[in-house]
Amino acid sequence: MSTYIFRRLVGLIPTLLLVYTIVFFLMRATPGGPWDDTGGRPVFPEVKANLMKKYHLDDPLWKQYGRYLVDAAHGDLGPSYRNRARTVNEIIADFFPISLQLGALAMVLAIGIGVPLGFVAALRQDSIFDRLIMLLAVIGISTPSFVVATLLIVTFAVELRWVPTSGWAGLWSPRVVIPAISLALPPLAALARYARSSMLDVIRSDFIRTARAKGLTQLAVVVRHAMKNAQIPVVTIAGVYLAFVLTGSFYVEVVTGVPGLGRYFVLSISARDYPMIMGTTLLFAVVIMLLNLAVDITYAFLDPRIRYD
Amino acid sequence: MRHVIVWVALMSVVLALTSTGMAQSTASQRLAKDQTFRMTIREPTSMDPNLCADACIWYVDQIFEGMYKILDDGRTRWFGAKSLDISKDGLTWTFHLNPAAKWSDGQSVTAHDYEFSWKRAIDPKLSSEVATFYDPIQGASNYAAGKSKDPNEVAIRAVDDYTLQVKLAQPTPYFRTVLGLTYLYPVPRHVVEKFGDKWTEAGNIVSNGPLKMQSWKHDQEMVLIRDDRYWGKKSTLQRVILRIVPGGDLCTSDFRAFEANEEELATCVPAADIERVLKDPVLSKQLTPEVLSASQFLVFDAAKAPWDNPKVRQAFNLAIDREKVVQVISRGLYKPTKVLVPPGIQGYKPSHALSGSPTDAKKLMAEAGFPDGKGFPEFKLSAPDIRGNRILAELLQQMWKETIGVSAKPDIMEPKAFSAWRSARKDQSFDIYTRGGWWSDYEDPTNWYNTFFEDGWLNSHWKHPEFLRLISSAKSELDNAKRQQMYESADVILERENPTIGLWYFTDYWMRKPWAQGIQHVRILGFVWLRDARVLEH
Repeated sequence: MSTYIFRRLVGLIPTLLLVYTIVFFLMRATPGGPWDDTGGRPVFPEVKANLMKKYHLDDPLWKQYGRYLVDAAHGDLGPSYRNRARTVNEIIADFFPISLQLGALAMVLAIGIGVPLGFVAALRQDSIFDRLIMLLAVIGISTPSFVVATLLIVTFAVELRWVPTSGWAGLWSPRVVIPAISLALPPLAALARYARSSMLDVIRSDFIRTARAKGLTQLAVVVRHAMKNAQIPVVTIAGVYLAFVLTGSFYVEVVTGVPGLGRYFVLSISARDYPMIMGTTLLFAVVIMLLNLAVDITYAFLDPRIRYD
Repeated sequence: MRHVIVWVALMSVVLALTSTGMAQSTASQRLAKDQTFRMTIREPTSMDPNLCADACIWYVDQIFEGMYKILDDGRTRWFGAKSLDISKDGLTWTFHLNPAAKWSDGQSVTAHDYEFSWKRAIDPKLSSEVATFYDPIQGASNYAAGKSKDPNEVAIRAVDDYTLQVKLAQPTPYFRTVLGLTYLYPVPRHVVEKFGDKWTEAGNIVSNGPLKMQSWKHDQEMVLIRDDRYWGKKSTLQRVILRIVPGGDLCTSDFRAFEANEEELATCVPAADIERVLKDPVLSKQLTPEVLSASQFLVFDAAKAPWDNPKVRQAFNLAIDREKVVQVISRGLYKPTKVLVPPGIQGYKPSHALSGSPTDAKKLMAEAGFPDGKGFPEFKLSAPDIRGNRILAELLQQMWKETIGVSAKPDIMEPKAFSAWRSARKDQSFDIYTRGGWWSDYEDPTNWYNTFFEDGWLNSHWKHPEFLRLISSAKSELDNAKRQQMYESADVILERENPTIGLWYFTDYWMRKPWAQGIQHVRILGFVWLRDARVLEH
């Protein structure tokens, strides 16, 4: 197992290099640069020339490619062009933990509520309960999170005034409710659906019939035999959604005023803040690859037939 | 006697009435115990006056002050300087500084701070976008461009602790308005040298205005507090909480917070909510549209056929129903205009606007050889994807089609891509573009006519010799009446030739809670003037 993990970790390096190369050239190929105005005051040519020089953007492309790569390999993701007194490392250090906390909370909600709901719906297939859960799940999957966030804000902040309209005050503040629910809803709904169909597959299989034939109670069959097997597809989907919520959602963060990292990923692109784009992309690439690895390792625990030797 | 009694009775009634009225008004005018003022902002890209060049100027302006400030009434309010002497030739400017002015750590603001700050702002090592505003100073542009390495060649000199002398390269009357801008506010040398890039962080920063920074949690909140050591009239507000919206749609977030009573002032109303605000009996009273020195306009490529024919440009101008445009874009809150420059800029005269009806537009098109638009090439109307430009493009497309029978093709680009495209028009042709407006950086005609056409920043390729001669000599004219006259003559030519056509003047939609008093709007870039603000009991 440890050899396998080591091999996978080493495998990150070429993938990251590929990501770096693609993003580097895509950024440079996109029209408009960091100091082209966007409706604000124009930047004058001498100033632009000074800025290009300061940030080595007037160097040949291969030199820029190499310089940033060496710095990034040493953990220095460079200065932010937009916030001149801040570095990309500082911005990530400030805001990534917030995205992580909020994402983790959303995922706990999604798994803690979505999976049991799905399992119960499967065991009561075609009942009113099942139909209702699946209807809600479809609504949950198809409603964009910024719509959910806006509805929650208008209801609970503007009309009822239970919580402020936006902002972040840590995980233990009531403010967390709106962003956490908005972020949790799509994975919750999706997990409920996957958990249901996976449970349906499992309870129809031979070994469950055997267990029943041996006279085990329904509860024992489900808990001891069906649940573990039904979790494999759920883990796959949870991994994908975990990567999505941990890296921060631009819409949820923007609408609910949570200063996470997700919005930097989007804002830095429209600002052509090259180091910020690169820094967040590389970080997200690492997060996603590590989560994929974690999902693969979890399989081995859930299903003894899966081995990584 | 009866008369007297009646009179006395009447007078006492009047007195009683007025005194209760007064008592009531003083009760509602009483200051609140908690002088906390709240508003919503975007994360400032910098709080360094030498670096800050975008929306951050509004927040820099709350904690720093410069030599003086010119408000909308045209009066100069002196702060860092007590007076200014300008030599007869208009070249030597001597500032007599206010010795009472202090940094928030108690040190004096001296001429040496100003000399350090101004030279720092144009230092190529800092590469600040504000360097442009120092252009009129002798040696500044050479130093900023790195052509000269010696800061002593820049004619900014502290004569003694409280006298600063500046020499200009040529007479530049507009420098007076520039001096009031945040770009020329001083920075504390001792703090900048101690903390380097990090000097603007809370805990390090030292400022010189009536408020100072208490905390700054990036992307969350900045808190300003009253500086009790401030030399001048102290702020009534004790605390200003600037809630920072972390990116995205500032306007919606700002307005929701206002509706939820989380702030005293909203500086924006989302387009989708304007209708509701105007109809709401409470909200409509809190809405105060504030006119800006800013206009939206179209630009033609005056060197390319068929746009090289003034008649075509005039026809396009007359074919636009601006009332309708403004109604659709802003529910009628913007002010329609046919002319380019806004009121307050020398040269502006509404009577210079081209007169005529849509029927005249048709006639002009026929005279230009395109009766009913026949034979007119299909053309592009380019714009960045900001501030309702999509709707504007479609409206214009429809109006031109219906009135003069021509087909416009809207070409809406991502903002940065548009900016790159527009810069490349310097020596490439185009049809028509709109940029999303222009805000006066300072209230002077050079910021419009000369920047646009003499420096050619607009890339309109319009080179009218008489117009260019007029604005070029008006720029450095020291006799104000003569200068005004020259810009007016130039404006007549501009509005007759129509290389650009005005659409509307922008308006800020501010929402104020009735208990927040004394907040002033500045029409240059929409500054929020909080110095005289106070919070009443509510």
